[in-house]
Amino acid sequence: MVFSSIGFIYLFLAAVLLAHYLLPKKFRNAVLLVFSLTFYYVGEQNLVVLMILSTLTDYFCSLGIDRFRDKKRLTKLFLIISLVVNLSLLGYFKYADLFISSFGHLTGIEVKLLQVALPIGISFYTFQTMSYTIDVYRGRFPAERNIIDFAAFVTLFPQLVAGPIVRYSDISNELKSRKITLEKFTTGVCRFCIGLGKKVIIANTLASAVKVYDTSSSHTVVLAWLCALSLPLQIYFDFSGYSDMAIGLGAMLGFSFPENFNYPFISKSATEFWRRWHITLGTWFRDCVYFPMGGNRCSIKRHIFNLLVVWLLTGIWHGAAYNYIIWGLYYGVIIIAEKYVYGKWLEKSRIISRIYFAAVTVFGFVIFHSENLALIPKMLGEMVGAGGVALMDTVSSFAVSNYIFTVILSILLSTPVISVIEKKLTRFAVMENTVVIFRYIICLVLFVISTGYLVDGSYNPFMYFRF
Amino acid sequence: MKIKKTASIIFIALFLITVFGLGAFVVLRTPGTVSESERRELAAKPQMTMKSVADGTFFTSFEDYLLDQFAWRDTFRRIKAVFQFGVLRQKENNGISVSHGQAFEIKSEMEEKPVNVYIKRINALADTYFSDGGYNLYSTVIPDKSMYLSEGAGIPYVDYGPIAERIKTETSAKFIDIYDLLDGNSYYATDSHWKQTEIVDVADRILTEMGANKIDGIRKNDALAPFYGVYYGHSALPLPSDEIVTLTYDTLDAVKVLRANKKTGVLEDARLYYDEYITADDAYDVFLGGACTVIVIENTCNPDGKTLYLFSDSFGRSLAPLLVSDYGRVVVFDIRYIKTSRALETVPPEQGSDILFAYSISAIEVSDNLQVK
Repeated sequence: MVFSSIGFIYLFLAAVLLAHYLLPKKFRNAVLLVFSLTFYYVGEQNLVVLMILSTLTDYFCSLGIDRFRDKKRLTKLFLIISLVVNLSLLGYFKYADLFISSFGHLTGIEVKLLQVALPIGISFYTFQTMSYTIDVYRGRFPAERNIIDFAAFVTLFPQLVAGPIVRYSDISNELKSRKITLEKFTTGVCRFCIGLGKKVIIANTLASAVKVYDTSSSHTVVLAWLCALSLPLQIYFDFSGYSDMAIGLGAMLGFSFPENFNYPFISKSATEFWRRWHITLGTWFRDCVYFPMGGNRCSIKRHIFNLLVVWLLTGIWHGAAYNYIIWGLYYGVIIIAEKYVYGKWLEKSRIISRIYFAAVTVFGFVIFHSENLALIPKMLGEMVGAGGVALMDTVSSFAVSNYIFTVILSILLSTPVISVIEKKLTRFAVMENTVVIFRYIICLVLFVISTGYLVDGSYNPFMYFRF
Repeated sequence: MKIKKTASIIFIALFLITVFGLGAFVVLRTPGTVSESERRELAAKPQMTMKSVADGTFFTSFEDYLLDQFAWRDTFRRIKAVFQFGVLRQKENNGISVSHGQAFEIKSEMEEKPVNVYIKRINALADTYFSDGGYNLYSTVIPDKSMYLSEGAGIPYVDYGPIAERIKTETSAKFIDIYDLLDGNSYYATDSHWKQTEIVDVADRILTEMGANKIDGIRKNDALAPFYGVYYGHSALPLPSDEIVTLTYDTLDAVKVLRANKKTGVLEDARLYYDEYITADDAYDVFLGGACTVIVIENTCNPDGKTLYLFSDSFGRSLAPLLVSDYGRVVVFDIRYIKTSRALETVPPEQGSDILFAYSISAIEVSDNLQVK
């Protein structure tokens, strides 16, 4: 089930809110657990078993760690069991075919692919449960003894399938007792409406622009650029829209989820970009991989190695295809170069740093988009007119005229321009209420228009579901 | 502070009323069966079985059902379309564009395969049924309205020329080019079909090329309104309605029309124009009563005249009345719904007759449907 569907908004959400608020407080986590499992079952049916397996493994392993805290070997064993189970699930269901095909390419031996279905959100919930057990192992908090509360945390539907990656410490207090205020609920609804609009109105329209390039038999320079510009914006509005909805839904149910995006496209370097993009994933890798490896408190060589490992893993996490690995390493190399080669020089000029960042981002998302590696040089070549590619034809000029306004609008909306205007206006006491009321009206209008898009459209899955 | 709180409460109330209200509506309402605006059947509530729940098909079908049965569906679709055109400044919605008030489907390319099939089928018809007997074979292709409207609007379109050229050179029928006689206004603003009032010149050219006399003394019948064509529903835009105006002349006043019964195939009395169908799902059925395998228009003023066999689609139903004057009868075959052999059993071909193949680009795109045998 996806948030951007009529079934979710008008039946599932309505039922969740009713049950959550009408039943006594002590049943709230049980209600969430039941609805979260239903949410997952609707989308994945039997694969819900994997999520239950991951949940039970980490529940019992963390209890074991807590129980045998004094026996280091035993606690390590429980940690290893948790890591092995979760990484095995991830390895088998997400990466097995990549390994098999790579083995085939390297050795020339033809091995049949397993072609197992990728369970939605497996990258998110396995990372979430692993980090929980790691944190218990490190003694950051005691293991959760109430299995309902723990299972509700793992399966919590707002963040289950595409993040943000919520750590147990983020919401442990709210799992026990959450205070729902009018302000929080209102903020949640606003956030949900904005996220829905980002996904349904902007991201899906940009996806159509990308599709024109992907399906067109004749590519031109203009069409390649339209696609290259639309791609990062589409992925941003798709993913940040989902995160907004998740955070909004969480707030409606009394949770405070961590932010996942902070206007990444206003960055001036790749390093800054990754502080603003998919923040919870970056934090996860920082805490669970980068810091344990020594972070930057080591020799330059070791630091570079640490960064390459983290970015290799970041790439692999995004998908079982070579382009994601290249994409991860691409950012790793650029971030290392920014750190040790030209970072300080970049800081001297805002204009140069922005041009640099735009080029790095466009190139990066071309890699991200091209699961067939041969398409990367092809598209880049088309963007500079290599190989006699025409500048423009009727299809591309129509595509530009059809989507250019959405592209410009999405560039504008990917900056903090609206929140800056809001802040400036609210400095005047007389405008404060007007701004709030206007915001509510915009949210409701977005909600109605998004419903129109949903009713007129068809199935529209989120891009990050496959990660 | 108080204003903010009140605003919050109103906002939350409106959100919850919308979610719960529309949710309750879709669950409790009696499901509709047909979307008039989109001219299609709506999804029915799926049966919940152990199997369909276990394999997930129930949930997919149920989402389709919710989409189709959602409250004020057409209004929501319209909101989306207006936003898409008006705010996002897009040039199309669901593949339908609007230029100078004319809605049309964007067709950026046409595969060669259906044109190949069409040519093969026309040649097979000619060879199988009309090779001996002194038949005079003619063909024309009815352009899609997008061919006239797209270019000016900077929208990609299918080039009529190469298709017409292939049909002209690769079939044995004499090709009658009518492209220059039409423009965007020759078609209804909200529909794919041409207006009968705008194709008199087309009929005249066809008649002249076939050696028949032009029609004269044409009169307009009363306008039938409102007519909301197929693009009205597909675009979901608040376009103004069309009106259907039918034509008549002295010969038509005295024709006898027969339509094949859908079940028995027996020819039964019919009419040229069915004014009451202006309120039907497809108001273009006003012309000759809609799709039918065999329709015969007998010219009582010229009973001994030649017969014209018109192989055509829905466009032919508005064209046929304008071709009658010089013929003894015009027989309209729609071989998308009947095998040609069976159609010709109903009205066997008379030697020396004229045969006209007049298909629209849309029909050629699905030329697999033409049943030659």
